[in-house]
Amino acid sequence: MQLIIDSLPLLWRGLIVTFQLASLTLLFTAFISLFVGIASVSRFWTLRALAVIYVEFFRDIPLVVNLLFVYFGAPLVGLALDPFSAALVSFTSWGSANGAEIIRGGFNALAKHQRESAQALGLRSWETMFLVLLPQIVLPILPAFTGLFSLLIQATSLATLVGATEFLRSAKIIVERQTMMTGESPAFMVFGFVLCVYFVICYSLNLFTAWLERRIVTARTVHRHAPQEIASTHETQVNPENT
Amino acid sequence: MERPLIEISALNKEFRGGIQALRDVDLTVASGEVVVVLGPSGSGKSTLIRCINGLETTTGGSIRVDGQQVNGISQRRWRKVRLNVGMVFQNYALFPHLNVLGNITLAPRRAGIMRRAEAEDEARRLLDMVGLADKETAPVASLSGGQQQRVAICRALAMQPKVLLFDEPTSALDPEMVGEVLAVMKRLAQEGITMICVTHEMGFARSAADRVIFMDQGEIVEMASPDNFFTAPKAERSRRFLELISRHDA
Ligand SMILES: Nc1ncnc2c1ncn2[C@@H]1O[C@H](COP(=O)(O)OP(=O)(O)OP(=O)(O)O)[C@@H](O)[C@H]1O
Ligand SMILES: [Mg+2]
Repeated sequence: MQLIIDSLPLLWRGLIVTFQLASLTLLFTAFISLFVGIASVSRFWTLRALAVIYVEFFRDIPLVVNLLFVYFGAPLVGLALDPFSAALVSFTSWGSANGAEIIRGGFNALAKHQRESAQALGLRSWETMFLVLLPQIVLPILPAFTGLFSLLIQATSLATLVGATEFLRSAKIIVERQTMMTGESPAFMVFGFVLCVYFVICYSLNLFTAWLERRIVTARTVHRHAPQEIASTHETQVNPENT
Repeated sequence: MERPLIEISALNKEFRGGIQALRDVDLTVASGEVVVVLGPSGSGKSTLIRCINGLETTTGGSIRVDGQQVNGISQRRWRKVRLNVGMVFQNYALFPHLNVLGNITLAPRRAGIMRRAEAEDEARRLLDMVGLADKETAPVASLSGGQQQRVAICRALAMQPKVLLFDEPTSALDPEMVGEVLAVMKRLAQEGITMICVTHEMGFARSAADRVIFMDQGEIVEMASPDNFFTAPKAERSRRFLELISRHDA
């Protein structure tokens, strides 16, 4: 335990790198997924084809292979990436291919009449997309996206393989240093600590989305009548027929 | 003579796969007219009205809406046409992420027809007309089918369309809710709103229609006033259809 406390500065620096890598990965993944996902249901076949190629290409390669390829392959085309950037590019491409597929599935599960009724009301195609269709798929794709985000957070530990000094690598350095100095390996404790940290982060993410899900469901189904009732948090049930 | 609102001539629609859903359909609808489209399943009723607001493309003939040639035009230009053509679907197709007011005001606000306050006043007026004044902030999922369909009618009316298309608006409803929706439609008919309704409600056709169209296998088999159609159908196919219906109703 003392060892972990002593090593906190190093672990903390590693954790910061992990946080940076994870948050940038999630951010870019969200945006690119959205972009590619929308392209995949476009009425222009060229956009649809490009989206399919992107999705299939990155989904069908193991993430580790993708990462090694980006890191060691990029210099060959004159693009030397540092470990952090290589990991970011690799995780984002893999994540957004999977995310785009989730989004496409969300759109396909929507009733075809939703798009048609928006069109019939004279909404422009971007209005149909962003004001009618997209808000409706948020709830159904939330669980799958949480899963993907959770996987991506866990996957950031792979960046160790190309030498990024993130959380896991910091832990490894501590273990190796300690083993060398004392001859005893603190691996169990240090990696146990790492495990707990990852668990807490991903579990909090799950709790957060579960909470978000409940809020959206309530907002879309429960009819809150008068202000007094909101104040007493009393929820009005579906009213009986009033005619 | 006043220019007809909708002029369809020699309209053909063949779906991919070779199904001929419409064959040389001719139909002219004047402003203020209520036309009811009858016919067995698969006869092309939905296809016909979906061609009028561009939800289906056509493969031959011509459609004019308010004087403008519309068949084959781009989606961008269809949007302008659709501002004048409202549609009510069988399964309401309300937007579940918006409440009742949001559903009704979205399109007129986006189209720049009304500002928010104005659109909400108009929505309240419409809701009051259909007997749902107390539901303006209700999420649509909390409404019954009949209530949802009445909201869908308000949503279409809020755009102040020149013509309203109905595709079997009561077919998905429990029997006890059919009446409340038909009552609203009858009222609109009396107010002089131009309507084309696909429906199996013979009572509505009898009392509200100016004209009845009977379709079978993609053709308009008979076009007549409701009185003539229901009491003295001319075509053999119309007679058989009416017989089947009355036997079913009995
Ligand atoms: N998208 C489509 N692709 C291929 N064929 C279609 C499509 N939509 C309709 N059809 C066919 O076109 C014909 C007419 O269909 P339509 O939906 O217009 O009939 P309908 O009179 O509305 O029937 P119903 O009373 O069952 O609604 C049918 O044979 C149907 O199978
Ligand atoms: Mg139909």
